[in-house]
Amino acid sequence: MRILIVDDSPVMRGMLRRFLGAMGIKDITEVADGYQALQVIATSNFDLILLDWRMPVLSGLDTLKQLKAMPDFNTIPVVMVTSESQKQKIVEAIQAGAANYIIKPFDEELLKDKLKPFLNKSVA
Amino acid sequence: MNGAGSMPVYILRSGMQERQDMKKDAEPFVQATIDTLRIMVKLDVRRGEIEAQDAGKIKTDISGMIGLSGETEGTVTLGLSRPLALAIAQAFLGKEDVSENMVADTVGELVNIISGFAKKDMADREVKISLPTVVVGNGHVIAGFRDEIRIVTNFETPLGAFHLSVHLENLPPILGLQAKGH
Repeated sequence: MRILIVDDSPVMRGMLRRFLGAMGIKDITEVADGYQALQVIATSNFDLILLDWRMPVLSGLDTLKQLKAMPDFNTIPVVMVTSESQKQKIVEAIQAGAANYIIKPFDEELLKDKLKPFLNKSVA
Repeated sequence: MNGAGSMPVYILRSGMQERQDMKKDAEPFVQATIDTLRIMVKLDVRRGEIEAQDAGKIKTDISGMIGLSGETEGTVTLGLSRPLALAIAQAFLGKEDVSENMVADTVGELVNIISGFAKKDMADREVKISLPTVVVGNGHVIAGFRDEIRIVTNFETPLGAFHLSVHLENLPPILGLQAKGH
């Protein structure tokens, strides 16, 4: 299973990588902003994207909207992983096509629970 | 006198009332701090003394700052000692070998998460949060504008103490009555 992590915080990317590793997921790509994400998505096959919201260059929401406008890639499930906690933001992301929404702070158990519907059967 | 447009009238609060209101406004950020560290790195955090300060007085090693804008404006600053910031970064990453950049980023990400999480208790307000800024320097002080009141909460953990400083402006204009025309 191939996962793309999009977050401008290297420590958050490291934490997600650690949690995903504990679930048996090792094929992970990291990028620091939405623009890089769109570039790498166009050249790779990802099964799942974990997307932050507040980032420089291109926000997570704008990245999501642009991804959903790309016919060859708009079926890749995108899970927002963000500190934006207001209800209207959650609604906005779901309406833009996010498959799920994780509010920071979170722990390994919550991440696992939220990602379960998207994980291959081979992954714990 | 004809009916001119209404003028905004600002209700002035006494200094003591203003401080009390600001402590109440800071509470979502205080609770978000406790919850964030408890959930993400399993750190037991206890709140200590809370005080209103009118200038930067607390020395710290690493500060993470966030700006708020919109219907609530202000700043949120998290100040940690380097050893505590390092310990939290190690807990985030699950390893001991952590670079200085990662330690600084940890503080920035923490104040980012705290501010975003606090927003859920500000549902009736349109508030934007900036990207975090991190200041690294042993024993530095974050100064503010003269007369700017900050609510400073001190926290205790098994790994050391730290503080959160919140300055919020939450004063919407209240329209006065229109003068009667003739």
